[in-house]
Amino acid sequence: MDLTYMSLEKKDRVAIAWLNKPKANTYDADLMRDLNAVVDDVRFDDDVDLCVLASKVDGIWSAGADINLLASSTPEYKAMFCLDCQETLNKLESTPKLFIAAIDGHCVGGGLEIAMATDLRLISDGAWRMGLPEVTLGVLPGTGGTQRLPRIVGKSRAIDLMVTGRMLTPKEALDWGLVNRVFPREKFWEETMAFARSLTYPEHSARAVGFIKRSVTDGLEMPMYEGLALERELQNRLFGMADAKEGFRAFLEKRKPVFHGK
Amino acid sequence: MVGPTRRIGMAPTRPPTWAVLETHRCTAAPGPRRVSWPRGTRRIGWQERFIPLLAHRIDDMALLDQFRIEALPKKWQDEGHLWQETYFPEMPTVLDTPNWKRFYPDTPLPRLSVILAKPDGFASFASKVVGASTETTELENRLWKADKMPDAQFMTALKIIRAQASTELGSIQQHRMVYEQLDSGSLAGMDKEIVEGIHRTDAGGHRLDSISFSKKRVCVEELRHHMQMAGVLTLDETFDKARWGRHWATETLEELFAMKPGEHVLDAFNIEFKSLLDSATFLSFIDRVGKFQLEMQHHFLYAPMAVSMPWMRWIEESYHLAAGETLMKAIAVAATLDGGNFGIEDLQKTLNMWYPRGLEMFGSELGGGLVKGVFKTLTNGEAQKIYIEEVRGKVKDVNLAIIQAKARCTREEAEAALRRIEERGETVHGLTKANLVFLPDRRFFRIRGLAEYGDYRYPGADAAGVGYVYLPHDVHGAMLSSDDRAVDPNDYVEYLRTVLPERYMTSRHWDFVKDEFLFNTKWGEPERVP
Repeated sequence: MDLTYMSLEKKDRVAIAWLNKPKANTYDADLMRDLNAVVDDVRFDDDVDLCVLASKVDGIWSAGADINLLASSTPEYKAMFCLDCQETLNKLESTPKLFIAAIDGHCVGGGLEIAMATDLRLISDGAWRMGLPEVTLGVLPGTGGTQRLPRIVGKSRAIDLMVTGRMLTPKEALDWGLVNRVFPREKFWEETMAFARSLTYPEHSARAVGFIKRSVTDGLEMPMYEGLALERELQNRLFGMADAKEGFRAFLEKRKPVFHGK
Repeated sequence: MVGPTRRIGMAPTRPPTWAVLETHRCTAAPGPRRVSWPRGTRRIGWQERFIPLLAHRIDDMALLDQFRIEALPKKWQDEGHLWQETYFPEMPTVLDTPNWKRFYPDTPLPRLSVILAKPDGFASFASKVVGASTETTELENRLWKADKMPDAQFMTALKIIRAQASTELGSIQQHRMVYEQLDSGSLAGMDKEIVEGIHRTDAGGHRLDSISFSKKRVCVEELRHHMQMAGVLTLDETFDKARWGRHWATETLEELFAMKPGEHVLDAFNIEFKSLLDSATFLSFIDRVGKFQLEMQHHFLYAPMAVSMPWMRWIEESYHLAAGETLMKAIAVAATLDGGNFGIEDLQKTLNMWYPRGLEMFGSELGGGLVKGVFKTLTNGEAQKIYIEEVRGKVKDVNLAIIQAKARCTREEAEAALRRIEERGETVHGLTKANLVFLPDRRFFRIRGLAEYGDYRYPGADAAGVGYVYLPHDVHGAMLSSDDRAVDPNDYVEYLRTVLPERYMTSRHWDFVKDEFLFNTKWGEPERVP
């Protein structure tokens, strides 16, 4: 895999995708191509159960889209760029494996939009800011921000955050439900990786995790009746797996299950 | 590439359209044209012919063999020709062999083509540049096609190339302001005093016509530098491939050719030359920054830019610097011995005006971290520090020239005298510190970059080093204050009037400084970075 601004490590069934585009991990088409390639790789790798998305740039997770690009490109290019970004994040979101944003730095604008496309957001308790200040540039959060933020924090809070361009601290973000966990910075990586590994084989049924993600993510966009049908379908597939039998049996035998992804 | 690289022995497919120089060279070059080539020597086309033909020493031959030449695409040759006819119509007189030989009998005519170091010869030049590392000398990991660069790197490369090209055209527009005066016979005021003073005190050939011709030689070489940058942008057709929906090579060249005086990328190239003092100080101080950039850019990721650097830096830029240094010294000596109505304080004021702009050409002292190791050998701050030491040496050279002229002593004796004057405050040979020049403090009269290594920022800025911070430092670096507060901009302007040339205080650039920085309320009161 030929990556320009990202690198991918794999260990203990966890893939760690590092964003590394100094100074601020601003994204452009090259970084999005990298992210797309990472998603593809994670999708097709049977030895990977989930992916942690982290930053190599100190103090910054991502500051969003490259403003130079937005200022200098043609409207037609910008339109295609937005479409490309949205499709990449949709792909990440519809992948039946968990993506976790491990945020140890500022996460702003398009950076937060990437983070919102992941399934869980963990953040360290540094002096970071999270927000969607695109309105201060005279535009809107166009990489899925206006759609994903209200689905995460609710319509009213989402509009508040986006129209004011205000920034949240990690604690505020936790209160709003924008992040799932806040870890002390000195233990952030340790805690994050422990959390990630707890969701992988053999202790955890990563397949069930992936299907839960799909059922929630896709199901939320469907009428209840269709969502329930999707849920049943995915559940039936899990019922047919050896892992489900092992899960039931271990429960009855009062022991820890050992899953194999079969 | 637009057309294949022209190889030795290949005839050109069409005659040159902007070939004043080439035509001239091929028909009028003296003696060396009769060099007899050993059997089996490769035959050469018109574009290349003049270099070996004008090489008249074995050393030159060895040197020239390390370079190759390419012609610009016709469209850009024509654009260049139009620009030259508008802003530099005197060029043919410089390229007239008798004229040239009169002033530079031992120097080949300038080469108005795109001149690229051959990969084999590149390392020997690159190893000598400031901040060179092993990677600087190696071309293996460079990119020869622009479309191989990711967007961010491409835009950084473009930004640097654009700035470089803009300086070349800008400096011709600036130098013209002076040589036109010298040539017109209407010399008046201080410049008249300076030229007459130099005539009386300098036996080194600094006559009016040689000073003027020297300026025009510099212009020819600056124009070639621009052609070189145009070549970097156009000879690899992938540079113009749509990126972000735009064709950057075409757009950039069109923009560059349309830039009028005052519209250039770097401030130093938007300041009018109103005196010979400007011209001399510019060549020594501002062109020296250019030398640093040319050296550092041997590390450039985009290989065609990297291999463009050796000829520009090692063959051409050296002359510009030397021309400035010798003229500065001649002016300083004239000011000391027979200055008429000008004195060393006029040179000092000129230095005060240009030096801050030179420092700012490096960019913010805190920046350049991403460029180092990819496009340049050093960060902005690292390069600037070395530059400061180098120009400190040039200021010392001027002072030694003053002492030597006044005391008619050796350089060693002059150095001893200089130490007594500067370190002990003595009067030696009738000279005191006030009769010498000094390098202003790096914080004086800065409008871009960092005034104090990022200790200050303007309100609302996320970080120091971003944007302009008003800090009224004097030429020695002390903050001008009243009641423990920085003095008001109006008071600072009054101070600047005493240390900057009067001619600058009525210039377009000074208006820009006042309107955009000193009296622009958008910047607010500077605050200390916590």
